[in-house]
Amino acid sequence: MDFMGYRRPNGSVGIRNHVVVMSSVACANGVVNAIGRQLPAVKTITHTEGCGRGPTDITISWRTLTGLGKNPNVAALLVVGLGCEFIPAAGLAADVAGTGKPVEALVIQEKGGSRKTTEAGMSIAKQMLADADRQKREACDWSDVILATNCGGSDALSGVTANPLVGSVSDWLVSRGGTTMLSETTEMIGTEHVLSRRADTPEIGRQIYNLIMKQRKQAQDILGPLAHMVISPGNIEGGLSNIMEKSMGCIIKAGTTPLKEVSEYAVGPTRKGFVIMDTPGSDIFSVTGMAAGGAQVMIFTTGRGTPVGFPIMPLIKVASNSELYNTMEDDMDINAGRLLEGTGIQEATDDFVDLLTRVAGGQETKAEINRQDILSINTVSPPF
Amino acid sequence: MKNSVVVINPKDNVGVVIKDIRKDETVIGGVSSTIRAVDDIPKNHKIALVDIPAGSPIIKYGEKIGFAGEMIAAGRWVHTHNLKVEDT
Repeated sequence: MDFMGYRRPNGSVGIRNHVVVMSSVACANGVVNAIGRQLPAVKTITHTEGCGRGPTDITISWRTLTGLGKNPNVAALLVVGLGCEFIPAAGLAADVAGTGKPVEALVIQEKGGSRKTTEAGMSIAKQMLADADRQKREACDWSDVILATNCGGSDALSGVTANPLVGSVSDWLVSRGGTTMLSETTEMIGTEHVLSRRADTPEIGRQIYNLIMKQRKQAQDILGPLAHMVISPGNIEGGLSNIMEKSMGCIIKAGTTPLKEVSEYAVGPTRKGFVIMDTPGSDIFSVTGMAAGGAQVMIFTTGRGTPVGFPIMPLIKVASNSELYNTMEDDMDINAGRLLEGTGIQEATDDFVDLLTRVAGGQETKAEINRQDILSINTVSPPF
Repeated sequence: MKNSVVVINPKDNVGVVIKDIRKDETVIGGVSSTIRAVDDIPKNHKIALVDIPAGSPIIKYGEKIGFAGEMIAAGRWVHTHNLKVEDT
């Protein structure tokens, strides 16, 4: 037994037991929020998508919302739709129902408006909350856990203290049969040869090499003369000499084990160990993609400090330096700055694993306590 | 006594100083090793842990992050002025 979690009908393991009310389209957000205001125990998922996009974006949004519903931290799901959108509530509900968890759908145009839908939704959500309350935690194994990693608001020490510490935790989790997920393709630019060398097979090596090269070109196409900002004057002033050094400081979060799989945005891994998901460097989009890929918990490192959290996945916030940890104590869970003050990497890793175990068993992270629930779905084209 | 340089991977030939270092200051890091700084080195910047011949790889995170554009003696500041990359 590694920790106490919630076992779902399909065998997956949750570390939270959230009842989620989700909109299938932005037009239903008001109803979802109304249910959330009156039932603060539910987690609401609202977003800007669900309609008015091209087929590629609809596909991404659909699989992101489905993935969030399927996330093992979700005990039960109520989807609220409008009725004329591209991503119908019933379609999302049917996709998630395959997990065996309780799923319901409501459509505003069929129910006769927002108030009637809110009332009906409250009644469903109340029942789901009562049922979820009766579920008990059981002994679960780390091998069923996907740990997402992300960095945001980085500083010169992120790649010296926080990210190497997370790498050490990643190696520990993989040694226990679990999965650690690296993301933020933009921040892998310059390390394509390192990651392809670490790939488990030549095919995976080619995938990661091509993915990073595509991202490199995209950064040049979109940012144009600003592409060099991927490494900024501030980075260089801070002591980083080139993009590869900066990116090495980012990918060290995944530790040192072989790369087992590369997946698209919001697509969950099929293999255990070290995996990569293609997400943007922009934090909220990246965090959302990994939660949709089934990650139950995330480690988020920061040097400047950020309060962000996620509705259904606890974020463990790691400060790269003691000054940040002390000034933003209400938002930080771990101080990696200790590594500069005489604490060894093994002791810091052991303490981190202790906290990870407590969080998996139900202890709230700072972002959960502060209800910093933020979510954005990635898109590739403008709306129309 | 607190270390003033962090070495991330045992293979590395550069470390990161965690405070501003003055020329001739003795820098403590790794396992009871000391280096005399040859340059002033700004906080969070890199210091050469050993002599790195011109053209040799500069190793951080256990990986080559560039090569020495000139002979870099132990204790020197390592940055864009002497760390070169093949493709930019």
